[in-house]
Amino acid sequence: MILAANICLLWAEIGWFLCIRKSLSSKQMLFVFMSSSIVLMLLFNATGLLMNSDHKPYSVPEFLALLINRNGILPLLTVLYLLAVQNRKIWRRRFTNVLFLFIFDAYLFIEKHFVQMDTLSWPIWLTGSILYLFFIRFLSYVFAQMSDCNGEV
Amino acid sequence: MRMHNDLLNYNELFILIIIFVGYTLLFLLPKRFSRAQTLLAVIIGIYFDLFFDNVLCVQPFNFYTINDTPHFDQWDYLSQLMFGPFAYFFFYGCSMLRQTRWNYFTYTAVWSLFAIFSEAVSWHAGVYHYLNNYQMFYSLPIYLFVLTLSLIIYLFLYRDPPLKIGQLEKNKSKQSETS
Repeated sequence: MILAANICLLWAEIGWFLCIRKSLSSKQMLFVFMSSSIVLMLLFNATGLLMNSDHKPYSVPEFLALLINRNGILPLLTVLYLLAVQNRKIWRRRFTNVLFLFIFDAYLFIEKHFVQMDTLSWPIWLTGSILYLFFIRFLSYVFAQMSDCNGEV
Repeated sequence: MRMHNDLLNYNELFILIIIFVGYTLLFLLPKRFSRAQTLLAVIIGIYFDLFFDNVLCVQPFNFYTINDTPHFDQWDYLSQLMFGPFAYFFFYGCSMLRQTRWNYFTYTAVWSLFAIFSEAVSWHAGVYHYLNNYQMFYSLPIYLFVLTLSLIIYLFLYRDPPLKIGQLEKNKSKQSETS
């Protein structure tokens, strides 16, 4: 069930990605996807270690769901977020920021089984999500400055 | 042969040496890509390594452990950095090849063998410890997959004519002259 739900979510996200107008270059999108994936993998490892969680070992479907989650859904959501905050009016940008923060937190709340941080409270989640989004925006800004790609982040 | 030391074990020394040599070579080689392309290449190398380590190294598969501890520690994170320059060297070699399908096929195959060889060296150095009957040559399909994917990325994102050696410096000096 959990695997099917994650595949459906990923499918919906890919559909969303294919439909929208892309204001970033392919290199920038690949960079954002990979760097956010790296950050998430490091975060998942570090938190798993810090919390010293006593979760039961994952079954193969659960593990595949985690993989889709960590290396597909969340990085693609980050790319969609960066695409959404591009070249819009200031109030729309703010709305997009709040909306994506809500989406991230709601998603993490639903999927907290996979993130192994059941004991953490929502303010930490919220702070973590804000820091994560700002960090990825900063990274992509640096990358955009380095390349001759158009599009501000 | 293991060198046990309170400060650095043989595997940790190996990681530091490879990182130093790899990134020094990356900076010393004549530039053929822009800074953004170079950074992307390094990120691609780190990403693939981290991804497969996070898949094969943990439950339910648990095929090997990295360095001295079964969980991820700082040396494991450092060891991921080793792979960044190699992706750059792979792209660098691609840009020097005559663009034929046979050349790309041979190039990927040779790199896969080189990857297996370097994994063997890392295993001897104590970076990898295989578990659950995992054999070194099981990694070959993974290398083939990763290198083919990297080649596809190169063909789509990097191929727009790579700079000739020294061209980047010439462009910069021209720009500074005009400004």
